[in-house]
Amino acid sequence: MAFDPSGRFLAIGTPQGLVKVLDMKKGAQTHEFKGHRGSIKQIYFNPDYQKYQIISISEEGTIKIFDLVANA
Amino acid sequence: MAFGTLSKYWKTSYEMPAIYTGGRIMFSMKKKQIFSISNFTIFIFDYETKETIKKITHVSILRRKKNNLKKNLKENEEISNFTFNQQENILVTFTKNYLVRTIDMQTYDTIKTIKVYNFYKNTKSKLILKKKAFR
Repeated sequence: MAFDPSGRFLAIGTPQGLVKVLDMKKGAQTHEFKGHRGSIKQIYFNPDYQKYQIISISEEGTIKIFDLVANA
Repeated sequence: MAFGTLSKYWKTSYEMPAIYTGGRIMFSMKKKQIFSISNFTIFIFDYETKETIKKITHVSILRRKKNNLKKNLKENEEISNFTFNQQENILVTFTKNYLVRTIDMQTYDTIKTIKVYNFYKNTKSKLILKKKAFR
């Protein structure tokens, strides 16, 4: 789990390998990404607040970067 | 001086509880606190006074509310992960039954609970299915 620098969006990595993004202000899910095969171990937001990107690391050893703006 | 027999029981001057057994650990720079997870419970530990300030667990809350809850429900309410925002005012917990709970870090009250689906919610395929159903 990780918050974006503004504290509005929360990224969650699930044991099924999904990355879910919640808008904490609205209390609803805004984005969902799949691509990992294994459970997600670590998840981070890009510290640059202008780039809404999520970096996720999974059990199988892959690192994926998901862009929130491109998938809006 | 003989050391063979124990002559005195020494008093423990300071005892630290088990607050970390692996997993996530976070430091609050503003509050000077350590947040760790152990046995599905979040421990909030002051690193200046060396005291556990708060323990957050959703299982015990449920137990207090309803005594006759099913065992599997108690297990599902176990906290699997947590985080707090950079402003250090909101703590978020994620439980095994895919519930995200927002907790105020001043009062430690639950503000909001959000249900997250544990599967890929393919909205496009659902729309197609709906269209087909209406034909």
